[in-house]
Amino acid sequence: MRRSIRGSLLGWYGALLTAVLAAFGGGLFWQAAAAVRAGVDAELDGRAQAIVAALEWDPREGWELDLRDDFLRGAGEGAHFGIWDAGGREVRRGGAGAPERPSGRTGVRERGEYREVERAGPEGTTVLVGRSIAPERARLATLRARVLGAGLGVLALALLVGGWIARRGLAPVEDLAAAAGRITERDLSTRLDVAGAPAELRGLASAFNAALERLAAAFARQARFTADASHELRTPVSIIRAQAESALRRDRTPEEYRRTLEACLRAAERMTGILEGLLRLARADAGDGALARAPVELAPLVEETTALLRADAAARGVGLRCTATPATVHGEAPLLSEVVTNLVSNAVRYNRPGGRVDVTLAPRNGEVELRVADTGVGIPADALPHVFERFFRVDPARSRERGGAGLGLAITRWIVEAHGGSLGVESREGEGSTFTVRLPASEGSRRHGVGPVPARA
Amino acid sequence: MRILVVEDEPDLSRALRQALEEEGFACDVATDGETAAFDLESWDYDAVCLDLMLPGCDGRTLLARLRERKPTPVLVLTARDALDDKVALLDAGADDYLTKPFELAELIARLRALIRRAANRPEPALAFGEVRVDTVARAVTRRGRPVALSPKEYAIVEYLARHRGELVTRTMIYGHVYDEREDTLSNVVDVYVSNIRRKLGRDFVRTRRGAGYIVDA
Repeated sequence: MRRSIRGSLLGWYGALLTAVLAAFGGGLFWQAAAAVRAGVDAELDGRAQAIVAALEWDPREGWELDLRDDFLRGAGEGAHFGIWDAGGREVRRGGAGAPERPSGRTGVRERGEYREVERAGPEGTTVLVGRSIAPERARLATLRARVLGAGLGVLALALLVGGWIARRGLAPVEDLAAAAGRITERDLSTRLDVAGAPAELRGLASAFNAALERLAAAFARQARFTADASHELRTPVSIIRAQAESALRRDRTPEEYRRTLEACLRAAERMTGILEGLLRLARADAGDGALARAPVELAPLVEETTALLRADAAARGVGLRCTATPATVHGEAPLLSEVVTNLVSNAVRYNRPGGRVDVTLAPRNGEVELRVADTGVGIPADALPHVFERFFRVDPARSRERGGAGLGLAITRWIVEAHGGSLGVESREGEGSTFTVRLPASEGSRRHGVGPVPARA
Repeated sequence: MRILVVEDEPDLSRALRQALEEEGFACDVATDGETAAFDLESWDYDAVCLDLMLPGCDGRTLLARLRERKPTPVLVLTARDALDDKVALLDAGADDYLTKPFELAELIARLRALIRRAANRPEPALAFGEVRVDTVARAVTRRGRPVALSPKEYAIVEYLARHRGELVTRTMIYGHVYDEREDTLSNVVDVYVSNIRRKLGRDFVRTRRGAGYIVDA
């Protein structure tokens, strides 16, 4: 069942009002009934006292009662009295509905439609006075009906008014919901008016706005990523198209066809690289990147990976030095090796002939720190915050000839962060860059890995 | 018609140059912004095909610099197809754009259209008495019969036809019919022109002694 705030507000309100009205109405009725009974009792008691006072014992005549004739008439229809002597014999009895004999207990009682008072008279006599209280009962019944009717009327009116108040009170919520609905179905750029919302809803509105903000940012990131990806793929596709179309315009020599096919192959290789990077990142985004973790000895991994890049470095006239202190981390070796490859090959590619790349692995403050420092072109300060973004390249055209699609550092950052580590960069344009990877050390490396071990060039 | 292709992808520029030259354009290629700026300064191209992403100098900057000096029509090649980018490009002075990947045939057709419009001659075929020059089919007819012309002869005929009624100097012909790599002797144009006269009639091209040539004065 769906709960509505207005429904439950109204329910609680109605229940409370019913209780109040019932207590009030019940109290009123009870008071009125008590007052009526007290009046009847006082009247009966007064009459009983009058009978007691008028009752006299004459040894010759027996019991004498000196009452006015209209005594009983004054009590109205259905009034009665009875007097019995100590032996229980009837002395007098009058009026309609008087009982045969006394109950034997003094006080007030109700018998059927009658209310009766029994008192002790002189010489052990018992005096009983009573009358029908049917008119009083009828009056009380009328009163009860009126109180009940009035109560129900008040309740109905109050519920109507309460419903209206609840609707009015909740109107800003509905307005807000409608505004939120309009925003989500049209565009994510508009926001709810927080200042204009009632105080109670400001928190909700600003939370909604914050969620929209994050959503819009995520959409924008996604859109930019898609745009960047298609942008990156457009150039190789246009190479393939232009080469093929140009070759097909007329008959060519085998040598010309060979050149065309080689160009197409180069473009296809470039697309493959971009697609692999994109798939990697898409998998990382999907959270499908659960790592197959195991203890990894980083020093040999760094040394072996760096060694693979030595030939490339030598070809570019870049000196590559590696200093690795034994250290163990908990992670996935192929991914960590990719981190080293990405960072070192960047450092080699964005370098100058005669430059240097220093790779240093050492424990530091309970973490394992890998530093890759180069003496290359460096990164301008305004570009530095963006280097880990996908497809970001300091000079889009220039790095193309160096063979990057701008995904390497984004992938590197993802791997490092998936290992619970951090990746940082410092750079000075024209002097070089230093990338620093910090990974949490596993137990093994904290035990052994303190103090540097002689460096290996 | 001479075209500058500004494109840093060697595989792409090679294919473009081949196709354009086979279509009878003289074609220069600049692979970076500085070279492109130098070429644009040195020659009067009939059209420029400009890739926006360039090393050394942003394509937009190049476009702005060109627009300060010359009205040369520019077709921009862009990898972005967002509307804003296209609007910004056209507003920045580009005459047309193509989104990568594009069809070579479309690129060539657009370049031809740009050149026609720039010469204030939007019609694709031009008639001079009994001679008709179809710049799309790149064919010339005389009295309804096709005339066989070498590519260079056609290029000169088309250039002269586009500048009908104007004096065209030899230097202008060199600048628009040959590309940077071609070594030209000063009398080569005269040889071509006399061939053209032989094929299209004496009266088609008139010589202004010491100045140049004129068609349909």
